[in-house]
Amino acid sequence: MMKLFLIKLLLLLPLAFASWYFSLAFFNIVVTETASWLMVWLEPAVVRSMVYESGNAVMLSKLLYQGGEISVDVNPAKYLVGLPLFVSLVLASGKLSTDTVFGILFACTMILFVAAWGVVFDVYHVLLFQLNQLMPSELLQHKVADLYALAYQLNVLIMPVLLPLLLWLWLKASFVKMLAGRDVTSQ
Amino acid sequence: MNRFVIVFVLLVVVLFGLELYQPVQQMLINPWTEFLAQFTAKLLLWFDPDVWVHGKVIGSSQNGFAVSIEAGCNGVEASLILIAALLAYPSPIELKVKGVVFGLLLVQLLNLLRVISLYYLGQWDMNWFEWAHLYIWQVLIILDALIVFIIWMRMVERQRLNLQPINSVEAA
Repeated sequence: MMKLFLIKLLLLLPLAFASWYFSLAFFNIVVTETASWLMVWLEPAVVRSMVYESGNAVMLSKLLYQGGEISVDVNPAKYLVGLPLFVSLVLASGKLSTDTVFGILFACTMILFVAAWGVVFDVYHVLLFQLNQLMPSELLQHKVADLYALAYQLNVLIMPVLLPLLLWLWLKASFVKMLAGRDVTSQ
Repeated sequence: MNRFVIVFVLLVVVLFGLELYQPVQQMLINPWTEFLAQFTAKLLLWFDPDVWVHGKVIGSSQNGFAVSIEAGCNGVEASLILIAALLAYPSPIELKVKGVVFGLLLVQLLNLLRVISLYYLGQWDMNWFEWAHLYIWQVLIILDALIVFIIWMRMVERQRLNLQPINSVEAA
């Protein structure tokens, strides 16, 4: 069972990556729009909006430097690598039922939402740690840098790859138990 | 499974909080990253005399290309996720220790392969470097940690089955 799962996974992963690559622009736009809404809601005094431009989510700010407005570019695709991983894990874990299909749709929505938070905290990272000289001091006063650093770490480095695994565990719990050999002990 | 997921997520947050703690960065993470760069360079020098290393940067004196091993590329994140999973899963302590030792070894071995492959990919084609760096290796490293964890879980369950009294197996 384990061998079959691994073989299926290794065959499906390149296919999932290829499908992901060809549909990336759509996912990038969804993530950029969500991140734009989140950023404007969180920082209305700093962020004008976020737009999708040649593969990047571009944060258009209200901050001025040498007469021009500052913008921050973020690559949303790096927060979406969990999608092909999740899809290949689920497809390698046995038959698809209607529940599984709804589960996949829910999980993909979660992955897109978490990717949007990845973009948001990537922008925060630039604003708080690289452009902090340009940020209005009253906005910086209420921000605990360590908390933002931890949130950056979680949302940018951890969640994009961890979430697909958690969602797979949730959606395919019985399969994972069988994979671990737990069915043998419980029968 | 629910208990495992809750403990696992809590451990992930605690371990990543600890990783960010400045003394931990100075005493463990930065020295580890530099060691990884030095070790990779030593390996590469066996067959590539143009390699140089400075701190956590590995470069080529032939074409001026250099890569810096940064957070997310030193294998620490995947290692912490694996440690959290091994600690969260109900199992005897000796199996946890074995899992951590061998698991970290395997994650770091694959990470070594990642650094070496990226070093050469970057010299060959920056587009491929970006792809491999940002997307492919991210997935492969976490998949490595997942497979190690599943294999370890099977060992734990097998031992649990072997330790079960014969009567209870028959009754079950």
